Amino acid sequence: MSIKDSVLAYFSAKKSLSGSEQEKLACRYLDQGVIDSMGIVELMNHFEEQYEIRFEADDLQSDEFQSIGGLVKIIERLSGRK
Amino acid sequence: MLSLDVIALPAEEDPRHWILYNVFTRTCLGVDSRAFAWLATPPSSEGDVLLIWNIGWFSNEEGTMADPTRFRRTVREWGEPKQVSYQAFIEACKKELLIIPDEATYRQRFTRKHSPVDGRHFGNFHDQIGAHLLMRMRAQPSSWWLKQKFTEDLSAIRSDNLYGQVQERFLRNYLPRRLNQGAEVLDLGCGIGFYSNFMAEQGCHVLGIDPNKDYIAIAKRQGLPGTHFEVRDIGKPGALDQLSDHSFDYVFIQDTLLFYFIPISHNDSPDLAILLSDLYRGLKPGGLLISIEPHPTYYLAPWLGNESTPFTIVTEHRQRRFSTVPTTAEFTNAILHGGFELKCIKDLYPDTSLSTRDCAFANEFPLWTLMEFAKPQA
Repeated sequence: MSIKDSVLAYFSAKKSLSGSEQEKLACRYLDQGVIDSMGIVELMNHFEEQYEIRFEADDLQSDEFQSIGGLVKIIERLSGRK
Repeated sequence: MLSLDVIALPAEEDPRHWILYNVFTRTCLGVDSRAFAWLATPPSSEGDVLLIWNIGWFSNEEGTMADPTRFRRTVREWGEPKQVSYQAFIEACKKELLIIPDEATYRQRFTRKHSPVDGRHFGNFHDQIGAHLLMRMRAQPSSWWLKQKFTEDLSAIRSDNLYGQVQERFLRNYLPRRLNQGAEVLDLGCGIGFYSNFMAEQGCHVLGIDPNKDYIAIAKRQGLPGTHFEVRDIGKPGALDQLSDHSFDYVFIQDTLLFYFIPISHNDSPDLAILLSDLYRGLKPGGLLISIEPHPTYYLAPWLGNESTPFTIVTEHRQRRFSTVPTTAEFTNAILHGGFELKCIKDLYPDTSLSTRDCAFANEFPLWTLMEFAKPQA
């Protein structure tokens, strides 16, 4: 499974995402209540463990981190693969 | 442009080095003194270099009563400098918000964070500590809060910070004099019940309530005879409906009411009017509401200056961009509006024999205020 599919599956399991894949990737998951603030810790742990990466503070506070597509790109960058 | 919020402070022990400090964002850079010339005029030679140090750190990760200043004070603690060109120096200044793109864009960032990963808005202190704990320390705020206030076995308040040195010392003296033997006390926002137990030791019957079920589980485990603990979602409609009318001689509230004025999350909206109405109903005529809350002006103000002669810079009073405490007038008027009468107000100071930086600061600038409000006799 690609990183993109894996991230989309993670969020879809939390809340049904509507729209095209492009719209799903544009989803700002906190603003739209897909997960709450406390869910961020679970999210970080999940992907850090799955891809053996470590999110840095600058990644976490970036605008990119706040959308599903942005998160995919960060994980791709940190893991060095697509 | 250089932000107007920036000041320069000499580093302790080596005044050839300076701290450039944004007093609003609490971000900073250690620099050698040539930085001042560079800020005024770029160096003529491209090969010129300057020494800078990254000296900022989230000092409150050690606790809410720890030094809130957020820079390393002495050059000894600064570590190795970076030798930087003029361009790299300007970039470092931008990163630490000493140089800002423009005033309007910068000011827009002074609002609450939407979430812990919102890096665009600075947020108030609670937003910032929440983001720091979750994102950088990977710690759960409620566990961290216990560790920064209590000893490891949770049986005592830590004596190595201002909770122990100011608040507990004051209350150990004040409560036995104030409370009558056999009094009925409601400890609102009791946490793990430390002061509930202390009041029970003075012969009171204490009902401790708190919305955090983990804290109440600990309170029940450690509870002394004379205490009873319940989880209640205080501030929500109906949360205190079960309190009997006119049943308490005292309501004791410590470091709790601030959350009714400035909620811990921008999504929360606890209702102070409902709470005060319940407390008024629950108190006996002549009963006392005793509150100890952080001082609105000095709590979380930077601890600047010489250790023995501290000073601070107040950056806000009415507009709460960073602070999490209402003004004295807002706080007092809200409680008076609930039908109570103000009986007494005291600022809390440490024992004057203590001379560490935190005590020296707290001895000049009170970090807590106690107020007694009475329910009228009839």
